[in-house]
Amino acid sequence: MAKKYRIVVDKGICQGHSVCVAQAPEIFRTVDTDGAYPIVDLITDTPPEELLSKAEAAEELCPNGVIRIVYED
Amino acid sequence: MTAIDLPATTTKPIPFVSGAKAGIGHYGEFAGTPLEFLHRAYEECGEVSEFDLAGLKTVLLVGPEAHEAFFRAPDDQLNAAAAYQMMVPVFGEGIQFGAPPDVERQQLRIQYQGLRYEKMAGYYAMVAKEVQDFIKDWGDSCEFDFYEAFTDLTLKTSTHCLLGSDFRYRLTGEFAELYHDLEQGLNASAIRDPNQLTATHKKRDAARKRLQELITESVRDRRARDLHSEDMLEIYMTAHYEDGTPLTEHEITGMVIWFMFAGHHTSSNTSAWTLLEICRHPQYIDDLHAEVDAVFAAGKQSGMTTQRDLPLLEGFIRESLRAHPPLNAITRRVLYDFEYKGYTVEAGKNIMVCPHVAHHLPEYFPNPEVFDPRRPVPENVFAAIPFGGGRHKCIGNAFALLQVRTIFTWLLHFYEFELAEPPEYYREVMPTLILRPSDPCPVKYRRRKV
Repeated sequence: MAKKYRIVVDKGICQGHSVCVAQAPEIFRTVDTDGAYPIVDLITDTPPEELLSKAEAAEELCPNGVIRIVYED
Repeated sequence: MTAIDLPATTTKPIPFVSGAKAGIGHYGEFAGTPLEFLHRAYEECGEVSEFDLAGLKTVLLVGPEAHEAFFRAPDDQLNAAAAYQMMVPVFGEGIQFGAPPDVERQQLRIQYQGLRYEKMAGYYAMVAKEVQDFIKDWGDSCEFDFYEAFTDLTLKTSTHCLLGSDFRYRLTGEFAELYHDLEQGLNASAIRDPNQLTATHKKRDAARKRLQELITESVRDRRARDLHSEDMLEIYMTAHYEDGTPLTEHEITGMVIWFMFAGHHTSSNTSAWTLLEICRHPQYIDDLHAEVDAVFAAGKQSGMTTQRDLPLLEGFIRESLRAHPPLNAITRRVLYDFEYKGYTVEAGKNIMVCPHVAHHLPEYFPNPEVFDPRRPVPENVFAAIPFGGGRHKCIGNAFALLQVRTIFTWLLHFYEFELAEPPEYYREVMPTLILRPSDPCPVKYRRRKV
């Protein structure tokens, strides 16, 4: 059975390191802001199952702990 | 008082730490033993406590919930620039906390350009090269002072990534002396009076001036020869403010000093604590060697590695940052009243969080006195705060971790290390605003058979 999950990001603590974009460009991008840094933006918050391992790498490697994967039954 | 007499909102009094002395309050204790004092403040008063630093009323917040409120507060409420004015003479007027907020934001944006993920691979080749040079004359075995060695090595790696190989190989000796003079003006008394002008501060100002001459010489030389490089100086030389104005020579120098102050001692101290803890825990050494040897076997030793390649080494680095975080405190000035759980911190006071106190809370770090490189990362991102948090977190944090990881990948592949003194000989001391192992720091090394 397909493993369902969704991605949640906390934009308030993102500093645009873009590690997530390097890991999973199908899911994450950064967008410019008026502040000092660009910040993360989700291309999709419900990526297909085959991108789960890339999403998990992005979650684990984000220097600011911005990304959370919520697994759904 | 009857219920009807109560004001619409009530605030609880903030518990005041005992032991204030007439005239100076808690300043003597804070300046002498800041960590012991801040731990005492928390143990005595809990999550929110107040003390007096010679007239500067200061509130300490402890715990992830309080840290989150602190780090998410807007800049015009909890303000870093007002709390860190002692940095202005070091970096220069018009730079970072010496600039208006909008200019500081644009300067931060320029620093960020040099710390983007895609820039990292170039820096790591530079770091790897420096580590190879660092160990090339080590021979088979010897004893060395690891604190001095890491101070020297990270000065070279920082200078290399920041100012390029030409500057690094020509001028590191003089740069080190000037940098040392710049640092001497920063101590607890500078927090009270950022504008004092003692002999030390005059020396600091002379060093700032000479550094600008050296860096400007390098900038002009590159421009004359149309040289381009992968280092930070290239970024500063080509950067523009939003109105199209390039950085001045004064500002380029200030950006270089800012980068050095943010990154050098924090990385050298983290390296020192990591080596010390590796030596204190020999039960992990075979697994550590296996990890780094696998990176070499895969040919990844000079490039980008992640914590996935080196999970146990990463555990040692992160646990070193937890147990021995470099900064004694992270401070803001309250510009308008800050409310937290029924307490009001009034405008004009300083407010701070303390990584060392935060990282020893048993609710978030069970058995906090135990060094455990396999300790799970806490769920709450505001529990561990060695680099600060939120949108003001140190933008160099990924660079710092990668740098320390690269240093140890090389050191542990070629050498094994052993303490020259009993483990308890090496203590935490804080002679400046940074936590370091007590002096001297002898360690023995022996070349591995690989």
